[in-house]
Amino acid sequence: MERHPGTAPPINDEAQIEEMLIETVLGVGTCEAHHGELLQGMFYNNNGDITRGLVTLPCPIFHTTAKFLPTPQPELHVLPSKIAKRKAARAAELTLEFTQRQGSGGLLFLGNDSPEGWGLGSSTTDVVSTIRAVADAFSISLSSDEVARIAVKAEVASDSIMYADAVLFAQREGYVIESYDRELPPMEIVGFNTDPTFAGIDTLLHPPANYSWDEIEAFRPLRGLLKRGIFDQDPNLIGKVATESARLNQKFLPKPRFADILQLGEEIGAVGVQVAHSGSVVGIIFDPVDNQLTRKMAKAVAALRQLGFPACHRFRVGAI
Amino acid sequence: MVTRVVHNSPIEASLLPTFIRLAKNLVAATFGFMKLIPATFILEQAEKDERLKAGKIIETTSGPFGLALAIVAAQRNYSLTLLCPKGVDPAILEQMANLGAKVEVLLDQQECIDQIQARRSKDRELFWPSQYHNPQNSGSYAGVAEAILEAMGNVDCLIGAVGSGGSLCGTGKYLRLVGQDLRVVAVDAMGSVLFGKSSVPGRLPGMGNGVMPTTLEHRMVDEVHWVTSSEALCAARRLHKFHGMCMGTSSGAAFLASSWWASKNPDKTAVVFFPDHSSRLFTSLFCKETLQAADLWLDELPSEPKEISHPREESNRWSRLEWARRSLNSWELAREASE
Repeated sequence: MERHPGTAPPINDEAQIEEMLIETVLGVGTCEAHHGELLQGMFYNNNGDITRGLVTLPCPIFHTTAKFLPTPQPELHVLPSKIAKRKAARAAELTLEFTQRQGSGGLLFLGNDSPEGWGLGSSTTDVVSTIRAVADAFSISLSSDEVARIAVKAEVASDSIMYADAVLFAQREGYVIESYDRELPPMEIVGFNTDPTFAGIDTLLHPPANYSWDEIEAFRPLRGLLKRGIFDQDPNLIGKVATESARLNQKFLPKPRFADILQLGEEIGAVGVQVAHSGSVVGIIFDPVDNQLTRKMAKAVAALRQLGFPACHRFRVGAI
Repeated sequence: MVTRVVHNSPIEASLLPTFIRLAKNLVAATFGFMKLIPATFILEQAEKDERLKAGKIIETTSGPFGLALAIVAAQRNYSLTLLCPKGVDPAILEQMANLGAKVEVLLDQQECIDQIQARRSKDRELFWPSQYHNPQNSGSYAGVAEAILEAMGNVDCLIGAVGSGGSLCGTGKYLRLVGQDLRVVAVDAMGSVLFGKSSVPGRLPGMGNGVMPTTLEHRMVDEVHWVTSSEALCAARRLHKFHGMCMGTSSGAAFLASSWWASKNPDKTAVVFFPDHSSRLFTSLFCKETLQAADLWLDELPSEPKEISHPREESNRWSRLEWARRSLNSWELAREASE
């Protein structure tokens, strides 16, 4: 039989067809967006060493969905583009390597339903959905710890969006410093982007915050209150932690009108203010069981417009 | 998930308090030996900054801090010299020596400080922790604030005896990061200079001070109680009688002030520091004859403090002043004294 270059060999075996069908299963992975952090700083790990860590605030109204179609050729094709999604591309390669399929290739599609310019485009969200899609294509189930390790390898520093429970996560080493064994308490958030032109921090170029000894120690009370707040499922305590973390980190990546935003939160009766420590979004946190909730959130939206932040999004975390 | 752990040393095991409820709205933070916290932290920070490369430490002390340094220095093989003013409890001197510290007894606090400065000018590698002036003394209490917040969430009031001010101001500062309204109540010894009274010799060790430490931040303090030695001893016996806890006299004094505060503020939650067990005290809380001979025995405690409106207002019993986060200077003590 004549063979033309570039065409696959003829298939004449049913088992072979079945195998190919399995091999070409489309893997799908999704990951919710996040809205920066509730806490970020330096923390003592179990060995008594000090390490960088954070607690991510998920933003479940938006998602990234990744689809991965394995191909026998070693090339990896990425849509919308490999350059724009280089961390996701790296994550796909690392996942193939992790699952003993180095040298394999495929088509990776990334779709994100968060609106442009809201500062919610997160490289970790792309990376995590990609890892999940690649693993799914081969029907492999990865633990959150494994996803975290691949994510950190792919992008130097990653947030902790891959964990379902609240964790204090070492974003540069990719391990859980402390797990809280339950979700964050229910919280309502009015989020907004302080800088629509913000392109994101390149973790490779941006030097990490250099904290002094007394700044490092100041994260300890915040961690204690966070733990109590998660244990008691009390948004008031989490709000205090978030506000103080934002304040302690303001000098490293300043948010415009920060003092005004803090004052606004206090005046309206929010439980706190959280920021993206390496992004531009800010959230005002409310207690969902507050009987004045709707009125307070409406007031916040109006006051934010006055401050020059016209576009707000509202979301909720935690189960009621 | 948190599991119980085995500690690697008694120092590590002593760095965090145990919380014990004394009343509905009053919780004691009890320590095996609180001074291990600043001693460990100051030495670890010095190691990180390479100020301890020569491994030689000098400090002046009248008791617990020197003893804590001696414990940590012995574990880490540092050479420690402790200059003590006359009058330090001989039992404590013996313990320091047993831990390998070189103990020298000098005339008074001033001579000790002069000596440290003279020796450090000759030997620049000699590390001086300087607990009364080192911000890392109060800075070492972040873990205590963390433990309080983790155990209790909201706290309205922090009450503690003051010597260097490190534990009260340090913990208070860290707690106020997440609660500006926290009330800080200092418990001082009658005859101590910390909150503007004139110095009177013969105070019990462990509380108050004859010199003014810069680690004490007066502007953090809302309320001051002064307690006499005999009241503190009697309160320590009461703590033992009602709660079975055998703590030192500074704990006794703090217990007296905190019990009163908690009963006056039933809707607020208070934490009180019990820094130390009484086991290291040379004179037992319970030696009635010895204490009577020294005029330090009381059978009954007053139920209320005497309210005073100025630090220099005369009082020879448990007294209370609304300090209102003022500086020491704002009380114009020099003018008062000259009038």
